[in-house]
Amino acid sequence: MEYSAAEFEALYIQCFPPSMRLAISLLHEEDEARDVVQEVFLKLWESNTRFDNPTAFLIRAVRNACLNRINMLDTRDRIRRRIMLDSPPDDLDIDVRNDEVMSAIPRLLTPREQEVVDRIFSEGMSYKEAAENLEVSVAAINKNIVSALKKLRSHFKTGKL
Amino acid sequence: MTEEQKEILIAKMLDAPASLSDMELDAISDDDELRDIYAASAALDSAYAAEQEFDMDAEWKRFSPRLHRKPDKMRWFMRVAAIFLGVIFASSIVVKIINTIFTHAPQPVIAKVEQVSKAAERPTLHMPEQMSMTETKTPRNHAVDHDSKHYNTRHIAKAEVSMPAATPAQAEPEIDVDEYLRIQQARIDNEMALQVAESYMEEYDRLVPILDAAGLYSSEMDDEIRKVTME
Repeated sequence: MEYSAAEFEALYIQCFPPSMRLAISLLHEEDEARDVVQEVFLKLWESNTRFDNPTAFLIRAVRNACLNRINMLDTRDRIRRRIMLDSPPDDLDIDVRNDEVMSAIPRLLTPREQEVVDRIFSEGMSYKEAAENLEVSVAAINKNIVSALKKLRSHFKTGKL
Repeated sequence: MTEEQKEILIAKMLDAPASLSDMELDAISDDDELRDIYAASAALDSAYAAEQEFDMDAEWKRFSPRLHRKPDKMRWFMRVAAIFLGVIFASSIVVKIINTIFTHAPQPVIAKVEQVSKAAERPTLHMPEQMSMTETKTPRNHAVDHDSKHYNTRHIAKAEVSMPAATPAQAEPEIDVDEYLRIQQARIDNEMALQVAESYMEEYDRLVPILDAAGLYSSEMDDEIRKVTME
């Protein structure tokens, strides 16, 4: 039994955000993540199959597709895109880990470290842009970043992050 | 590696990863602290990426045009059915053409040789009219007519030659090619058998008057001759 167009649109609107968040978490590039997610939805549409739990199917399919793409990257590309060098945890662990990281930031980091982390990781600024934005030196940016990462590493025993 | 060197490497790793040399990549991979810090940065990146919100109207508009590639199951089934019917139709045309060619070929003479009972009359050659017209003046038939009084009690093979009535091809029952070939082979066999029988008959007809004139003819001899010539 296949989805009608209206049903599929409803499914897309419901399942796209978690699928996309997972893909971005793994690939760290929005355009590539969107491409992966759309391909997975297309396969579901073309399969003319109705799953009991389409969200679980989509999340699993997106994860596998992302891992396939990551496996094609060498270490340099992974580091350039800040992708995990080790195998990523399961889907549920990714969500839990993301929540823990986000909740730890205000608890563990100083306000300045939070600002720097926010500019670098959320806004996607370079050290120089962040330094200009916060009106501090590039060295100060690096010092705050290194300090913040070490705190997070100590808190989560970063080998398991 | 000193703390200062590590901070430089971390800065490069986070701010300009494309500029890392192979040695620096190896250093990051081999140093536990650098590796953990890199993992922490990757986790931070993932966590922030997962916070992203999406404009679903825009996302659906961006995605929905690609849905036109959905294969139509019914169209696929119809395509297969059309191909199947096309093959059957083409095959039927070929068979019909072959059948028509063979059906309109000149019909050979259908010959039939059959045994008759002892009570039967002298051997006669039953033919269709047009064949009888051409063969009534043969020596064998002259002899048969001339000496019929002597042989009316002999029982020998009765050869019957018949020509099928000229009927329109459409009136014939439809048969398949194999069956048609078998029938044709049977007709050829019958024709050959008829030719052999006729040659024996001619020899026999020539021999009987000679024996009769010499006073050597008897019905027993006739039986013996028939055995030799017709069996």
